[in-house]
Amino acid sequence: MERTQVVIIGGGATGAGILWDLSLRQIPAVLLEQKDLANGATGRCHGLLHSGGRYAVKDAEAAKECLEENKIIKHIAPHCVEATGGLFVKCHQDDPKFFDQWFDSCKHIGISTKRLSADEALELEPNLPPDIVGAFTCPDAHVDVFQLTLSNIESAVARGAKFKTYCQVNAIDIDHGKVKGVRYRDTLTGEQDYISCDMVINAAGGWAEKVAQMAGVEVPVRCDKGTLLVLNHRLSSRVINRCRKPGDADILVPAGPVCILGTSSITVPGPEGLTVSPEEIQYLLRLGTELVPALAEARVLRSFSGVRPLYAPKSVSGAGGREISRGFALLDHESIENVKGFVSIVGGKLTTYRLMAKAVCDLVSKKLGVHEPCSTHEVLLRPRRDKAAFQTALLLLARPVAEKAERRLGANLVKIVKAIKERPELAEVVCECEQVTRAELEYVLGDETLIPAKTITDVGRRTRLGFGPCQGTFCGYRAMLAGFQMQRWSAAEACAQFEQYLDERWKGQSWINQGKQVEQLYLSRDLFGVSYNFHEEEGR
Amino acid sequence: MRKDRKDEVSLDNCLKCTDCNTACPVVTAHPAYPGPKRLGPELERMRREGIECDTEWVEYCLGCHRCDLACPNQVNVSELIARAKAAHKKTPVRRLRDFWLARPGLLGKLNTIVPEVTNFSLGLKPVRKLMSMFMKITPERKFPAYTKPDLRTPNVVAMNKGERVVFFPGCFIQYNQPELGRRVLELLELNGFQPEVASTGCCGVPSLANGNSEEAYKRATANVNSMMEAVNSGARIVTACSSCGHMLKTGFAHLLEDDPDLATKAAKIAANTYDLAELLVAQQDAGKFNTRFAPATATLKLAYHAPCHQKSQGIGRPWYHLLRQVPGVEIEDLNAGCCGMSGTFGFKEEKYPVSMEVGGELFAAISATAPQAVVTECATCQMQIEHGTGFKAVHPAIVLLNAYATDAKQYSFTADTSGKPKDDNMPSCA
Amino acid sequence: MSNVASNHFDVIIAGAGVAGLTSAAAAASRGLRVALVSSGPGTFVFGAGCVEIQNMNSKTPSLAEAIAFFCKLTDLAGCGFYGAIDEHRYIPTILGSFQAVSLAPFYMWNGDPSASNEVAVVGIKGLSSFNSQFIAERLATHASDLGQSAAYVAKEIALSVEPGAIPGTLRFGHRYDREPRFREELRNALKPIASNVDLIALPGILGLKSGRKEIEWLERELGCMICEIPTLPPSIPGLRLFNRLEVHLRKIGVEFFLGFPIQQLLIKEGRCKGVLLETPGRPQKITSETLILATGQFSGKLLPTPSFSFTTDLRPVDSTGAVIADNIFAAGAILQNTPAHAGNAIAILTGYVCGMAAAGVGAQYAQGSQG
Ligand SMILES: Cc1cc2nc3c(=O)[nH]c(=O)nc-3n(C[C@H](O)[C@H](O)[C@H](O)COP(=O)(O)OP(=O)(O)OC[C@H]3O[C@@H](n4cnc5c(N)ncnc54)[C@H](O)[C@@H]3O)c2cc1C
Ligand SMILES: Cc1cc2nc3c(=O)[nH]c(=O)nc-3n(C[C@H](O)[C@H](O)[C@H](O)COP(=O)(O)OP(=O)(O)OC[C@H]3O[C@@H](n4cnc5c(N)ncnc54)[C@H](O)[C@@H]3O)c2cc1C
Ligand code: SF4
Ligand code: SF4
Repeated sequence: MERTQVVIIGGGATGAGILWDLSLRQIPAVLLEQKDLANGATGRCHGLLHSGGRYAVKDAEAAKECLEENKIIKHIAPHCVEATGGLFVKCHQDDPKFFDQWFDSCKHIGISTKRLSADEALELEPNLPPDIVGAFTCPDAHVDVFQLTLSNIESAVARGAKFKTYCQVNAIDIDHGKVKGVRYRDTLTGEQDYISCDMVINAAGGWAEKVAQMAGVEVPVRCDKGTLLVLNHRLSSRVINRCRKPGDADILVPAGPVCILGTSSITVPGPEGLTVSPEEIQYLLRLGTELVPALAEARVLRSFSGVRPLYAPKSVSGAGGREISRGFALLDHESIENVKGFVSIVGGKLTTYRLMAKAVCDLVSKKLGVHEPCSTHEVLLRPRRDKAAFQTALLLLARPVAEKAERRLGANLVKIVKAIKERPELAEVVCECEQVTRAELEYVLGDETLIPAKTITDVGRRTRLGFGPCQGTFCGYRAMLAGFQMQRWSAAEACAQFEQYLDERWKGQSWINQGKQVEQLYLSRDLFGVSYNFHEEEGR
Repeated sequence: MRKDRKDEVSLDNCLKCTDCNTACPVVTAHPAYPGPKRLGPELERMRREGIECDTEWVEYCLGCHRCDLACPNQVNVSELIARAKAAHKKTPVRRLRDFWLARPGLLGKLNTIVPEVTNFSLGLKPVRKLMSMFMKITPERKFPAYTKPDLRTPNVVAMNKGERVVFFPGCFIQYNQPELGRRVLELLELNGFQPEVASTGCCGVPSLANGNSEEAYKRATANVNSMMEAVNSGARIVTACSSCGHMLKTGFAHLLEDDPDLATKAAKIAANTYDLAELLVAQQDAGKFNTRFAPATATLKLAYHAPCHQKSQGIGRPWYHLLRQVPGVEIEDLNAGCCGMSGTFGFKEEKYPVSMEVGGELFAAISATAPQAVVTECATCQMQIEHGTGFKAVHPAIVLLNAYATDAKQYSFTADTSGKPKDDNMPSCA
Repeated sequence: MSNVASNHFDVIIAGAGVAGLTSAAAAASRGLRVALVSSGPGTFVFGAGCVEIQNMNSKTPSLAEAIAFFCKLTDLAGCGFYGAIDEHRYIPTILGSFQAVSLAPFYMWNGDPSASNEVAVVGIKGLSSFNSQFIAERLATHASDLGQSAAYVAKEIALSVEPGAIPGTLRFGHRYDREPRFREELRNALKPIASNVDLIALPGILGLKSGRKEIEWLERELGCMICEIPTLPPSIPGLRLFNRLEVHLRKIGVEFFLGFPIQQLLIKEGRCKGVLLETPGRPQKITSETLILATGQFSGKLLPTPSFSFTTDLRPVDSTGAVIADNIFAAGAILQNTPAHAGNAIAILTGYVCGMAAAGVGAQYAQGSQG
């Protein structure tokens, strides 16, 4: 029977951050994730590394946290962050009093900002509406959520921690008021297993309430659904915020080759079975167009939604989604309900994941009698870039291909360079939209990586394969073949994999009822549903 | 610089069908060319992400627009590539060479001050070797002969009172084939027009093709301004060169889009520009096409090659249909792809093999047809065809003019560009 | 054909998909002066044009005629289709499944598992998106599901690769067209495999322009049957079909305006005078007596009314049931009520019916009436 000291439930940014923090304090831990890393809110969020500007007026405390973490994450994970900077745009429709309030609050909190005239702002971002009043700058940035989560986990695993994907915790074993272990099911094979441990950390985001119930305790979580739209190409090179009281569809974040518009805020019963209506998409686009008019004509690739797990104790549960604090809650169930060895962490933001992890780990360390202080604010998540490998990669690959691979792989780029040197055919770009080579595909599917991909969707999380305009229609097939060739899947399994994958890709596009993506979706369905006689029920 | 909203959208239209790649002549000819899909919409997303995507390959694009035509989704593929080309960083030698190739007008002017000397020296082997060494211009090719520009608006007295049209000769006709220019004017007169010659220079295509959009911008501005009066007075503009025609119809508007005043003018010029044959077809549809042809005395077997910039104008095959009406003419449309010359492309040393490989299909088709002459309205296509096959290639206007039973001296034209124009037998069946 | 240069035609056919090309051929075969205008080729780059006939049979009006016409047409073009209305064959796909077809081009027809005992699925080294092992395994499973005993083995051949090139079907296709040496190399590589099997299934690479002569040469040399499996785009067999049909149609006098979308239909007082094409400089106007709209699934917006359906003679009507223009006919996927499975069959049938209608030959399309 497997044994460890701490079991963490939930492989989002928070769980990953906790695993890393614990590993730095040399506390043995296992992280269990029911699907793959960043399956929850982490993989479905905007990827905005907040500067605090958004909260400056209403919640100075949260703004300060963000500002602080923004700096730290830029320092410890530069490979995950694109320091695009951001603008808070003053639209003529909005309240001018808020503009001044915003500026003063930022000054007060220490968020560096500069006033821009309308012309200056338009010079920087030609896609803004010509009739804006002006804009303020801020140090907003984009953070690659998948890479961030992956880096935390990889670094931790390299230090001896364990991460298990497709392991769903379905029971927490409690004996005489004390945690003894967890029972989990491998969702790919259906096998049950057990890990014995001293402590369990519930970092299950929107599922935290359900997980808490397994320990017989109450963690009230309000699930606040947000929907995001992915646009085919960048319409801005900075994060664009609307300078007004936070509302719907008022942020556009450039993220890799795409940009993401969001979000909405709708209370839902739980984190699963989320749907998006065409009206919701229209609504977001209409609002977004006030901020960036080009959105009206731009191509929407996909919509997705996630839930913000908002901690909602009874006293404030009447408030609407955005009113509940975005701050986080650390619940020590030993002191609240007398369940020894069980801790929950809920709420917060992606931007503050490290801070949340620190808070949990400080508590857990204390309980376990470990005195090592937190060092996640200074230890780099990944060694500095390997310049020599990059230079070699440039000889083997086109520049954008090499550059993207380097961003994703960091020091592991060496492995790919080596593979291509041995087998030049691995230089082939298999995902054209996101510039993923066959070498990288084989790397994430293979055993050389610490956290291998088990499904085609997993490959996407690690490489962005299938995230572009074709939405996996062509590259998904190639990924399936790669998995087959590498004996990760039998021929029949590979087919089943692909079928599932396409289903998931189609679903994300199916709510879009306008523009070229509709044609792209039909094409994909016709190609596989009709021509290849595949997935027949779905092929219209 | 992302001001072109139309292109913003066109990039998003790509469904990754690869139709463009299958139509690209360079993909056919060069195994490593990444193709229009990649160089266009695919890399454009990355460029807009801010990733360095510069690649030598953009230099290999012929600007033939075949990808644009093949694309079922109206992506402006070649336009995206042309922009990347304009931003491409060149090595110094290439820059020097491309400076000259981008300015045929200037080259033309310099060379025609003393054409004899130029033609003599361009013809000399050592000179061409030197050009190869220092300017990376292939020694395989002969340079077109330069003659004194003396193309003028025809004498008013001799003219009939027809509809006013302005003939835009472009630099090749201006500096290398002024004789052809005079024949075009004659043809226009015979069909009831009152032609005059535009006082303009180069259209700017070569500048664009050599990645020099600044120079192209200057050319466009000058041309637009100089032709506005005529267009405002209701005159149509006529081109006999398909590249100039394409430029007048699309390029000016693209280049000048940031200046609202010039953009409006450019659009007006574009809307009033006609390919010579297009104009004659319109004339035929209006019942005014002159069909008083001399009776045939022999058959003349011709092969027609449609230049890429002709195809991309969307006017059908007017020359093919016009010449089919000439007594004695048997004409076959070769429909065998791009000739590979692409203006100045084929002059560049490193591109020469690609240029010839691209033309391979056309050369084979010509040889298989074995015509008495190839007709094609683009001067550089003519050069390439003669270079690649040894068959004579002439402008279709010549054939048409010769068909009329006029007492105008039968025009002799040789496309042999080795030296001074010489009289030799000329495609005519009259 | 009259010898004039004119932009007036007897019929304009909009769209170069299966429907458009079929109706162009039908109209031209009746001596009409035909203009084919299209923004691009049809969906050929995705497949091979295989035809499955569903929910129709030999009693369906005009179907037998249309199918016979299409088979003849493709045969003349050098990419002949085999099959018949009531025939059912299964041809292999890159997913290792079998696609049910009634008609298929000769270079795919032999893929049916009942036609052979020993099949070699042959991959090409470096052509990574065609995995012969995967396909062979899946085909074997599916063949036995179909009650067939054909045995499938996976093979791989190596072909020379030009410097700098990453092997792709488009590259191989071009080389098959252009380089006799390449064709011989391919033959030599396949030869040892051919002696042990009765069918070689290989990725679609046998040329974008090749016809019966060029492909049957290989079959003869090898002494066994060949079946191409179309790959992810570009599908070479599909492009071949398009290219051959285009060349053939040009030969019989169809005038092509390829690459320019229709901007507007010129409809006045219930008649369509012609179309405006989105061409450089200014829209090109082309006029005609009849217009056949074969512009595919997403082109309904070309018609002036947002919602429309069709009469039994395939004329679009508006929501009140009134004919939009009495000389506009519609064919193919624009009819929208066609299931994609039978897309090509409907395209052939309706394309043929419309082409004939333009020539004043009454033919009826009963199956897809929505009206
Ligand atoms: C639309 C939207 C936009 C957002 N935008 C931003 C933004 O721009 N910037 C920002 O800072 N924050 C943003 N957020 C907030 C941010 O996404 C979340 O606060 C953060 O990602 C939460 O991470 P987490 O790890 O706590 O939870 P999650 O990422 O949800 O992780 C929980 C994980 O637990 C797993 N799990 C659940 N139950 C079990 C079980 N029984 N066994 C095993 N595993 C289990 C789930 O599969 C999941 O992977 C946004 C949120 C939303 C919804
Ligand atoms: C990926 C895929 C696979 C398929 N597989 C099969 C199969 O295996 N079997 C089967 O029977 N069916 C299949 N289908 C369906 C089948 O291809 C179509 O139903 C059928 O071919 C439709 O033919 P069409 O000529 O009506 O339209 P299309 O082939 O779509 O052609 C439309 C034409 O119109 C042109 N056009 C569009 N708009 C304009 C405009 N404004 N101006 C000018 N031209 C315009 C386009 O460029 C194109 O040339 C498949 C479809 C797809 C997309
Ligand atoms: S313009 Fe011509 S040469 Fe250039 S990419 Fe397009 S098709 Fe190829
Ligand atoms: S033809 Fe057009 S849509 Fe297709 S890949 Fe090329 S650019 Fe994209």
